[in-house]
Amino acid sequence: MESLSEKHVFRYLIGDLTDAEQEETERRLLADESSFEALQVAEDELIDAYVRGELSAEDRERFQEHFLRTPSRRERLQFARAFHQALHEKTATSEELPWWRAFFILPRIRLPLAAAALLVVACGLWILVERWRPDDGARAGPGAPASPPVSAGPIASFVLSPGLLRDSAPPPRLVLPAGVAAVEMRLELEAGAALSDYRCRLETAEGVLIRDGVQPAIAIPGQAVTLRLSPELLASGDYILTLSGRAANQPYEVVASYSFRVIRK
Amino acid sequence: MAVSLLLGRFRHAGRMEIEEQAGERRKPDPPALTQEELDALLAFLGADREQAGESYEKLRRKVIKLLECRGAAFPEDLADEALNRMARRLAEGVTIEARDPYSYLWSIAVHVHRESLRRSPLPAVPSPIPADPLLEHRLKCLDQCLIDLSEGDRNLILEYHKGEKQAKIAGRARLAARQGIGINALRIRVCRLRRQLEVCVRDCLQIRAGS
Repeated sequence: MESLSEKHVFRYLIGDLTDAEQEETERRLLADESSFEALQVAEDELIDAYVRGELSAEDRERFQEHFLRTPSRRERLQFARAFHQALHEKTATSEELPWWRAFFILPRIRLPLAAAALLVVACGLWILVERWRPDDGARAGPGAPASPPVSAGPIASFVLSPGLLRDSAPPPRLVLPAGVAAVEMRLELEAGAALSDYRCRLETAEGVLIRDGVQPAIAIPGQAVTLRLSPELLASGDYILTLSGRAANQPYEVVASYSFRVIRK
Repeated sequence: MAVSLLLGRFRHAGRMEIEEQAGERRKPDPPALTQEELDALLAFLGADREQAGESYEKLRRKVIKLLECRGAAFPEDLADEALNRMARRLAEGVTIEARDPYSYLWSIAVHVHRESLRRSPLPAVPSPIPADPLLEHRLKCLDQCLIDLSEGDRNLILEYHKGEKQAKIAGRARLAARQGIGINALRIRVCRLRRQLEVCVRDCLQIRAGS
Protein backbone atom coordinates (compact mmCIF):
# COMPACT_ATOMS: atom_id res chain seq x y z
CA MET A 1 0.00 0.00 0.00
CA GLU A 2 1.39 3.38 -0.98
CA SER A 3 1.79 5.75 1.93
CA LEU A 4 -0.20 8.95 2.02
CA SER A 5 1.67 12.07 0.97
CA GLU A 6 2.57 14.69 3.58
CA LYS A 7 0.41 17.21 1.80
CA HIS A 8 -2.59 14.88 1.87
CA VAL A 9 -2.14 14.19 5.60
CA PHE A 10 -1.82 17.91 6.21
CA ARG A 11 -5.09 18.57 4.37
CA TYR A 12 -6.73 15.76 6.33
CA LEU A 13 -5.63 17.24 9.64
CA ILE A 14 -7.03 20.71 8.94
CA GLY A 15 -10.29 19.27 7.62
CA ASP A 16 -9.69 20.22 3.99
CA LEU A 17 -10.93 16.94 2.43
CA THR A 18 -14.39 15.98 1.18
CA ASP A 19 -16.33 13.51 3.33
CA ALA A 20 -15.52 10.67 0.92
CA GLU A 21 -11.82 11.58 0.83
CA GLN A 22 -11.74 11.84 4.58
CA GLU A 23 -13.26 8.40 5.12
CA GLU A 24 -10.97 6.79 2.57
CA THR A 25 -7.97 8.47 4.20
CA GLU A 26 -9.04 7.18 7.61
CA ARG A 27 -9.37 3.62 6.32
CA ARG A 28 -5.85 3.80 4.93
CA LEU A 29 -4.46 5.31 8.11
CA LEU A 30 -6.05 2.52 10.11
CA ALA A 31 -4.61 -0.20 7.90
CA ASP A 32 -1.16 1.19 7.16
CA GLU A 33 1.27 1.46 10.04
CA SER A 34 3.72 3.80 8.31
CA SER A 35 0.99 6.23 7.28
CA PHE A 36 -0.29 6.22 10.84
CA GLU A 37 3.14 7.16 12.20
CA ALA A 38 3.37 9.88 9.56
CA LEU A 39 0.05 11.22 10.84
CA GLN A 40 1.41 11.62 14.33
CA VAL A 41 4.57 13.36 13.07
CA ALA A 42 2.46 15.61 10.85
CA GLU A 43 0.32 16.65 13.82
CA ASP A 44 3.39 17.94 15.65
CA GLU A 45 4.61 19.78 12.58
CA LEU A 46 1.21 21.33 11.99
CA ILE A 47 1.00 22.56 15.59
CA ASP A 48 4.55 23.94 15.35
CA ALA A 49 3.74 25.72 12.11
CA TYR A 50 0.72 27.33 13.79
CA VAL A 51 2.73 28.38 16.83
CA ARG A 52 5.49 29.85 14.64
CA GLY A 53 2.96 31.72 12.52
CA GLU A 54 3.93 29.82 9.38
CA LEU A 55 0.41 28.88 8.21
CA SER A 56 -1.47 30.87 5.62
CA ALA A 57 -4.48 32.83 6.86
CA GLU A 58 -6.84 30.24 5.38
CA ASP A 59 -5.00 27.25 6.86
CA ARG A 60 -4.74 29.02 10.18
CA GLU A 61 -8.50 29.48 10.25
CA ARG A 62 -9.08 25.84 9.34
CA PHE A 63 -6.60 24.76 11.98
CA GLN A 64 -8.47 26.70 14.65
CA GLU A 65 -11.91 25.58 13.56
CA HIS A 66 -11.14 21.95 12.82
CA PHE A 67 -7.92 20.78 14.42
CA LEU A 68 -8.42 22.51 17.75
CA ARG A 69 -11.91 21.14 18.34
CA THR A 70 -10.85 18.69 21.04
CA PRO A 71 -9.58 19.61 24.50
CA SER A 72 -6.64 17.24 24.14
CA ARG A 73 -5.43 19.04 21.03
CA ARG A 74 -5.83 22.42 22.65
CA GLU A 75 -3.72 21.06 25.47
CA ARG A 76 -1.08 19.98 22.97
CA LEU A 77 -1.12 23.45 21.50
CA GLN A 78 -0.38 24.91 24.93
CA PHE A 79 2.48 22.44 25.31
CA ALA A 80 3.89 23.49 21.94
CA ARG A 81 3.64 27.17 22.86
CA ALA A 82 5.57 26.54 26.06
CA PHE A 83 8.10 24.36 24.27
CA HIS A 84 8.81 27.00 21.64
CA GLN A 85 9.04 29.72 24.26
CA ALA A 86 11.62 27.63 26.12
CA LEU A 87 13.51 27.09 22.87
CA HIS A 88 13.41 30.81 22.17
CA GLU A 89 14.78 31.59 25.63
CA LYS A 90 17.54 29.09 25.13
CA THR A 91 18.45 30.52 21.73
CA ALA A 92 18.44 34.07 23.07
CA THR A 93 20.73 33.02 25.89
CA SER A 94 22.99 31.22 23.44
CA GLU A 95 23.54 34.47 21.55
CA GLU A 96 24.88 36.15 24.67
CA LEU A 97 27.04 33.33 25.99
CA PRO A 98 29.50 30.90 24.49
CA TRP A 99 27.60 27.86 23.23
CA TRP A 100 29.36 25.55 25.65
CA ARG A 101 27.87 27.46 28.58
CA ALA A 102 24.48 28.13 27.11
CA PHE A 103 23.58 24.96 25.32
CA PHE A 104 21.84 23.31 28.26
CA ILE A 105 20.72 26.41 30.09
CA LEU A 106 17.19 26.20 31.34
CA PRO A 107 16.62 29.29 33.46
CA ARG A 108 14.20 27.87 35.97
CA ILE A 109 16.55 25.21 37.29
CA ARG A 110 19.88 26.97 37.51
CA LEU A 111 20.21 26.84 41.28
CA PRO A 112 19.76 23.09 41.82
CA LEU A 113 22.13 22.32 39.00
CA ALA A 114 24.66 24.86 40.20
CA ALA A 115 24.63 23.01 43.50
CA ALA A 116 25.20 19.76 41.67
CA ALA A 117 28.09 21.32 39.79
CA LEU A 118 29.67 22.32 43.08
CA LEU A 119 29.49 18.69 44.15
CA VAL A 120 31.59 17.84 41.16
CA VAL A 121 34.21 20.29 42.36
CA ALA A 122 34.29 18.42 45.63
CA CYS A 123 34.91 15.20 43.77
CA GLY A 124 38.03 16.51 42.05
CA LEU A 125 41.18 15.22 43.67
CA TRP A 126 44.67 14.45 42.77
CA ILE A 127 46.97 11.73 44.01
CA LEU A 128 50.70 11.72 43.74
CA VAL A 129 52.19 8.36 42.99
CA GLU A 130 55.63 6.92 42.31
CA ARG A 131 58.65 8.58 40.89
CA TRP A 132 58.22 12.28 41.28
CA ARG A 133 59.86 14.11 38.38
CA PRO A 134 59.94 17.91 38.71
CA ASP A 135 58.94 19.68 35.52
CA ASP A 136 57.83 23.27 35.48
CA GLY A 137 57.82 23.70 31.74
CA ALA A 138 54.53 22.05 30.86
CA ARG A 139 52.70 23.89 28.12
CA ALA A 140 49.73 23.00 26.01
CA GLY A 141 50.41 22.26 22.38
CA PRO A 142 48.80 20.44 19.51
CA GLY A 143 51.94 18.39 18.92
CA ALA A 144 51.83 16.80 22.37
CA PRO A 145 50.87 13.13 22.56
CA ALA A 146 47.35 12.40 23.89
CA SER A 147 48.52 9.78 26.39
CA PRO A 148 51.59 10.19 28.57
CA PRO A 149 54.30 7.56 28.84
CA VAL A 150 53.48 4.91 31.43
CA SER A 151 54.99 5.48 34.89
CA ALA A 152 56.69 8.70 33.92
CA GLY A 153 55.96 10.45 37.22
CA PRO A 154 53.10 11.64 39.45
CA ILE A 155 49.56 11.42 38.16
CA ALA A 156 46.81 13.92 38.90
CA SER A 157 43.42 12.20 39.11
CA PHE A 158 39.98 13.78 38.93
CA VAL A 159 36.37 12.66 38.85
CA LEU A 160 33.92 14.45 36.56
CA SER A 161 30.15 14.10 36.30
CA PRO A 162 28.36 14.77 33.02
CA GLY A 163 26.23 17.66 31.86
CA LEU A 164 26.32 19.98 34.84
CA LEU A 165 27.23 23.18 33.13
CA ARG A 166 25.21 26.24 34.05
CA ASP A 167 25.93 29.92 33.73
CA SER A 168 25.53 30.57 37.43
CA ALA A 169 28.21 28.10 38.49
CA PRO A 170 31.85 27.95 37.57
CA PRO A 171 33.02 24.73 35.96
CA PRO A 172 34.86 22.23 38.17
CA ARG A 173 38.48 23.23 38.74
CA LEU A 174 41.33 20.86 38.02
CA VAL A 175 44.48 22.13 39.69
CA LEU A 176 47.58 20.71 38.03
CA PRO A 177 50.75 21.05 40.06
CA ALA A 178 54.03 21.47 38.23
CA GLY A 179 55.77 18.21 37.50
CA VAL A 180 52.64 16.08 37.00
CA ALA A 181 53.40 13.39 34.45
CA ALA A 182 49.84 12.42 33.60
CA VAL A 183 46.26 13.57 34.11
CA GLU A 184 43.75 10.86 34.79
CA MET A 185 40.05 11.67 34.51
CA ARG A 186 37.31 9.34 35.63
CA LEU A 187 34.21 10.31 33.64
CA GLU A 188 31.05 9.21 35.41
CA LEU A 189 28.28 7.97 33.12
CA GLU A 190 24.58 8.37 33.54
CA ALA A 191 22.76 5.14 34.28
CA GLY A 192 21.68 3.31 31.19
CA ALA A 193 24.45 4.51 28.90
CA ALA A 194 25.77 0.97 28.51
CA LEU A 195 27.80 1.15 25.33
CA SER A 196 30.87 -0.89 24.63
CA ASP A 197 33.21 1.30 22.61
CA TYR A 198 34.07 4.83 23.72
CA ARG A 199 36.13 7.73 22.44
CA CYS A 200 36.64 11.31 23.54
CA ARG A 201 36.98 14.71 21.97
CA LEU A 202 38.80 17.42 23.90
CA GLU A 203 38.41 21.05 22.94
CA THR A 204 38.70 24.42 24.56
CA ALA A 205 35.61 26.31 25.58
CA GLU A 206 36.17 28.51 22.56
CA GLY A 207 35.91 25.47 20.32
CA VAL A 208 39.58 24.92 19.50
CA LEU A 209 40.13 21.20 19.02
CA ILE A 210 42.88 19.76 21.19
CA ARG A 211 42.42 16.05 20.56
CA ASP A 212 39.78 13.86 18.94
CA GLY A 213 39.27 10.12 19.04
CA VAL A 214 41.09 9.59 22.31
CA GLN A 215 40.48 6.06 23.57
CA PRO A 216 39.86 5.64 27.30
CA ALA A 217 42.38 3.65 29.33
CA ILE A 218 39.59 1.89 31.20
CA ALA A 219 35.89 1.64 30.38
CA ILE A 220 33.18 0.16 32.58
CA PRO A 221 30.07 0.33 30.38
CA GLY A 222 27.20 2.15 32.03
CA GLN A 223 29.34 3.33 34.96
CA ALA A 224 32.48 5.24 34.08
CA VAL A 225 35.40 5.52 31.72
CA THR A 226 38.88 6.57 32.71
CA LEU A 227 40.90 8.74 30.42
CA ARG A 228 44.60 9.40 30.71
CA LEU A 229 45.96 12.56 29.10
CA SER A 230 49.31 14.19 28.78
CA PRO A 231 49.41 17.35 30.92
CA GLU A 232 51.06 19.11 28.01
CA LEU A 233 47.66 19.19 26.35
CA LEU A 234 46.17 21.23 29.14
CA ALA A 235 47.11 24.86 29.60
CA SER A 236 45.20 26.94 32.12
CA GLY A 237 41.74 27.59 30.78
CA ASP A 238 38.27 26.12 30.23
CA TYR A 239 37.69 22.87 28.36
CA ILE A 240 34.92 20.66 27.07
CA LEU A 241 35.35 16.93 26.92
CA THR A 242 32.77 15.10 24.80
CA LEU A 243 32.42 11.38 25.27
CA SER A 244 30.93 9.30 22.46
CA GLY A 245 30.16 5.63 22.49
CA ARG A 246 28.58 2.97 20.41
CA ALA A 247 27.12 -0.49 20.64
CA ALA A 248 28.41 -3.23 18.36
CA ASN A 249 28.07 -2.35 14.66
CA GLN A 250 26.33 0.94 15.45
CA PRO A 251 27.50 4.48 14.72
CA TYR A 252 29.00 6.58 17.52
CA GLU A 253 26.63 8.78 19.45
CA VAL A 254 27.38 11.45 22.02
CA VAL A 255 27.03 9.99 25.51
CA ALA A 256 27.90 12.98 27.65
CA SER A 257 29.80 16.24 27.84
CA TYR A 258 32.03 17.36 30.70
CA SER A 259 33.26 20.86 31.31
CA PHE A 260 36.20 21.77 33.52
CA ARG A 261 38.68 24.53 34.19
CA VAL A 262 42.38 23.76 34.35
CA ILE A 263 44.56 25.80 36.65
CA ARG A 264 48.29 25.23 36.28
CA LYS A 265 50.39 25.84 39.37
CA MET B 1 -1.22 -10.02 30.14
CA ALA B 2 -3.13 -8.82 27.16
CA VAL B 3 -6.39 -10.59 27.92
CA SER B 4 -6.61 -9.16 31.41
CA LEU B 5 -6.04 -5.69 29.91
CA LEU B 6 -8.95 -6.30 27.62
CA LEU B 7 -11.22 -7.45 30.37
CA GLY B 8 -10.28 -4.45 32.43
CA ARG B 9 -11.67 -2.09 29.82
CA PHE B 10 -15.08 -3.64 29.31
CA ARG B 11 -17.70 -1.82 31.30
CA HIS B 12 -20.22 -3.06 33.82
CA ALA B 13 -23.60 -3.62 32.29
CA GLY B 14 -26.38 -1.24 33.19
CA ARG B 15 -24.32 1.83 34.19
CA MET B 16 -26.43 4.66 32.82
CA GLU B 17 -25.29 7.94 34.35
CA ILE B 18 -24.97 10.86 32.02
CA GLU B 19 -21.86 12.93 32.62
CA GLU B 20 -21.47 16.53 31.60
CA GLN B 21 -17.99 17.74 30.74
CA ALA B 22 -17.09 21.01 29.10
CA GLY B 23 -20.68 21.42 28.00
CA GLU B 24 -20.75 18.11 26.16
CA ARG B 25 -22.94 15.17 26.93
CA ARG B 26 -21.15 11.91 27.44
CA LYS B 27 -22.65 8.70 26.23
CA PRO B 28 -23.69 6.18 28.89
CA ASP B 29 -21.16 3.38 29.28
CA PRO B 30 -21.86 0.54 26.87
CA PRO B 31 -22.98 -2.77 28.32
CA ALA B 32 -20.24 -5.29 28.97
CA LEU B 33 -19.34 -7.94 26.45
CA THR B 34 -20.23 -11.51 27.17
CA GLN B 35 -17.47 -14.10 27.25
CA GLU B 36 -18.69 -15.40 23.91
CA GLU B 37 -18.47 -11.97 22.30
CA LEU B 38 -15.03 -11.38 23.74
CA ASP B 39 -13.83 -14.76 22.50
CA ALA B 40 -15.20 -14.05 19.03
CA LEU B 41 -13.33 -10.74 18.83
CA LEU B 42 -10.05 -12.20 20.06
CA ALA B 43 -10.32 -15.15 17.70
CA PHE B 44 -10.86 -12.74 14.83
CA LEU B 45 -7.82 -10.68 15.77
CA GLY B 46 -5.43 -13.60 16.01
CA ALA B 47 -5.03 -17.30 16.62
CA ASP B 48 -2.80 -16.65 19.62
CA ARG B 49 -4.83 -15.05 22.41
CA GLU B 50 -2.00 -12.90 23.71
CA GLN B 51 -1.15 -11.60 20.27
CA ALA B 52 -4.82 -10.94 19.69
CA GLY B 53 -4.85 -8.85 22.87
CA GLU B 54 -1.93 -6.81 21.59
CA SER B 55 -3.64 -6.35 18.23
CA TYR B 56 -6.71 -5.14 20.04
CA GLU B 57 -4.72 -2.53 21.97
CA LYS B 58 -3.02 -1.30 18.82
CA LEU B 59 -6.26 -1.11 16.90
CA ARG B 60 -7.96 0.70 19.74
CA ARG B 61 -5.19 3.32 19.92
CA LYS B 62 -5.54 3.98 16.20
CA VAL B 63 -9.33 4.26 16.32
CA ILE B 64 -9.05 6.68 19.24
CA LYS B 65 -6.59 8.85 17.32
CA LEU B 66 -8.75 8.92 14.20
CA LEU B 67 -11.87 9.73 16.18
CA GLU B 68 -9.93 12.53 17.81
CA CYS B 69 -9.11 13.78 14.30
CA ARG B 70 -12.86 13.87 13.69
CA GLY B 71 -13.23 16.07 16.74
CA ALA B 72 -14.75 13.51 19.10
CA ALA B 73 -14.77 14.84 22.64
CA PHE B 74 -14.55 11.35 24.16
CA PRO B 75 -12.75 9.27 21.54
CA GLU B 76 -11.87 6.49 24.00
CA ASP B 77 -15.53 5.83 24.79
CA LEU B 78 -16.51 5.80 21.12
CA ALA B 79 -13.62 3.50 20.19
CA ASP B 80 -14.63 1.04 22.91
CA GLU B 81 -18.23 1.15 21.71
CA ALA B 82 -17.16 0.48 18.11
CA LEU B 83 -14.98 -2.47 19.12
CA ASN B 84 -17.72 -3.87 21.33
CA ARG B 85 -20.24 -3.68 18.48
CA MET B 86 -17.80 -5.43 16.20
CA ALA B 87 -17.36 -8.17 18.82
CA ARG B 88 -21.11 -8.64 19.08
CA ARG B 89 -21.53 -8.94 15.32
CA LEU B 90 -18.74 -11.46 15.15
CA ALA B 91 -20.41 -13.49 17.90
CA GLU B 92 -23.67 -13.34 15.93
CA GLY B 93 -21.86 -14.98 13.03
CA VAL B 94 -21.31 -12.03 10.73
CA THR B 95 -18.54 -12.84 8.30
CA ILE B 96 -15.96 -10.14 7.75
CA GLU B 97 -13.68 -10.35 4.78
CA ALA B 98 -10.23 -10.96 6.19
CA ARG B 99 -8.67 -8.58 3.66
CA ASP B 100 -10.57 -5.63 5.01
CA PRO B 101 -11.28 -5.90 8.74
CA TYR B 102 -10.09 -2.32 9.29
CA SER B 103 -12.59 -0.99 6.83
CA TYR B 104 -15.38 -2.84 8.60
CA LEU B 105 -14.35 -1.57 12.01
CA TRP B 106 -14.01 1.98 10.73
CA SER B 107 -17.51 1.89 9.27
CA ILE B 108 -18.82 1.01 12.71
CA ALA B 109 -16.68 3.71 14.36
CA VAL B 110 -17.93 6.39 11.95
CA HIS B 111 -21.51 5.31 12.66
CA VAL B 112 -20.93 5.46 16.41
CA HIS B 113 -19.39 8.91 16.03
CA ARG B 114 -22.37 10.18 14.01
CA GLU B 115 -24.71 8.90 16.70
CA SER B 116 -22.73 10.83 19.29
CA LEU B 117 -22.92 13.99 17.18
CA ARG B 118 -26.71 13.67 17.08
CA ARG B 119 -26.73 13.54 20.87
CA SER B 120 -24.31 16.45 21.28
CA PRO B 121 -23.04 18.49 18.34
CA LEU B 122 -19.45 19.68 18.40
CA PRO B 123 -18.96 22.82 20.46
CA ALA B 124 -17.52 25.92 18.80
CA VAL B 125 -13.83 26.53 19.40
CA PRO B 126 -13.16 29.78 21.24
CA SER B 127 -11.44 32.26 18.96
CA PRO B 128 -8.85 33.54 19.43
CA ILE B 129 -7.36 30.69 21.44
CA PRO B 130 -6.96 32.10 24.95
CA ALA B 131 -3.54 32.58 26.52
CA ASP B 132 -2.37 29.71 28.67
CA PRO B 133 -3.20 30.43 32.32
CA LEU B 134 -0.75 27.71 33.36
CA LEU B 135 2.15 28.94 31.24
CA GLU B 136 4.60 29.60 34.07
CA HIS B 137 3.89 26.23 35.68
CA ARG B 138 4.09 24.55 32.30
CA LEU B 139 7.49 26.09 31.59
CA LYS B 140 8.85 24.94 34.94
CA CYS B 141 7.50 21.44 34.38
CA LEU B 142 8.96 21.44 30.89
CA ASP B 143 12.40 22.35 32.18
CA GLN B 144 12.25 19.56 34.71
CA CYS B 145 11.01 17.07 32.14
CA LEU B 146 13.81 18.04 29.75
CA ILE B 147 16.32 17.42 32.51
CA ASP B 148 14.76 14.02 33.15
CA LEU B 149 15.51 12.99 29.57
CA SER B 150 18.86 11.43 28.84
CA GLU B 151 21.40 13.94 27.60
CA GLY B 152 21.33 12.40 24.14
CA ASP B 153 17.53 12.61 23.90
CA ARG B 154 17.49 16.16 25.24
CA ASN B 155 20.07 17.32 22.73
CA LEU B 156 18.19 15.55 19.99
CA ILE B 157 14.81 17.14 20.61
CA LEU B 158 16.24 20.61 21.20
CA GLU B 159 18.46 20.54 18.17
CA TYR B 160 15.69 19.11 15.98
CA HIS B 161 13.50 22.12 16.66
CA LYS B 162 16.19 24.74 16.20
CA GLY B 163 16.19 27.14 13.24
CA GLU B 164 13.59 28.22 10.74
CA LYS B 165 12.64 27.22 7.21
CA GLN B 166 15.66 26.18 5.09
CA ALA B 167 18.08 26.36 8.01
CA LYS B 168 15.81 24.05 9.97
CA ILE B 169 15.56 21.55 7.12
CA ALA B 170 19.33 21.55 6.61
CA GLY B 171 19.88 21.23 10.36
CA ARG B 172 17.60 18.22 10.54
CA ALA B 173 19.40 16.55 7.64
CA ARG B 174 22.72 17.03 9.43
CA LEU B 175 21.24 15.75 12.65
CA ALA B 176 19.91 12.62 10.94
CA ALA B 177 23.31 12.03 9.35
CA ARG B 178 25.04 12.37 12.70
CA GLN B 179 22.59 9.92 14.23
CA GLY B 180 23.19 7.53 11.35
CA ILE B 181 19.48 7.33 10.49
CA GLY B 182 17.18 8.57 7.75
CA ILE B 183 15.17 11.76 8.08
CA ASN B 184 11.89 9.88 8.52
CA ALA B 185 13.32 7.73 11.29
CA LEU B 186 14.56 10.93 12.94
CA ARG B 187 11.12 12.53 12.73
CA ILE B 188 9.49 9.46 14.30
CA ARG B 189 12.12 9.33 17.05
CA VAL B 190 11.57 13.00 17.89
CA CYS B 191 7.80 12.56 17.72
CA ARG B 192 8.00 9.81 20.35
CA LEU B 193 10.25 11.93 22.53
CA ARG B 194 7.79 14.76 22.26
CA ARG B 195 4.92 12.48 23.34
CA GLN B 196 7.06 11.46 26.30
CA LEU B 197 7.64 15.11 27.19
CA GLU B 198 3.95 15.95 26.82
CA VAL B 199 2.95 13.16 29.19
CA CYS B 200 5.66 14.21 31.65
CA VAL B 201 4.51 17.85 31.61
CA ARG B 202 0.87 16.85 31.99
CA ASP B 203 1.69 14.64 35.00
CA CYS B 204 3.85 17.38 36.49
CA LEU B 205 1.02 19.93 36.15
CA GLN B 206 -1.37 17.54 37.87
CA ILE B 207 1.05 17.12 40.75
CA ARG B 208 1.48 20.88 41.04
CA ALA B 209 -2.30 21.37 40.96
CA GLY B 210 -2.68 18.85 43.78
CA SER B 211 0.01 20.35 46.01
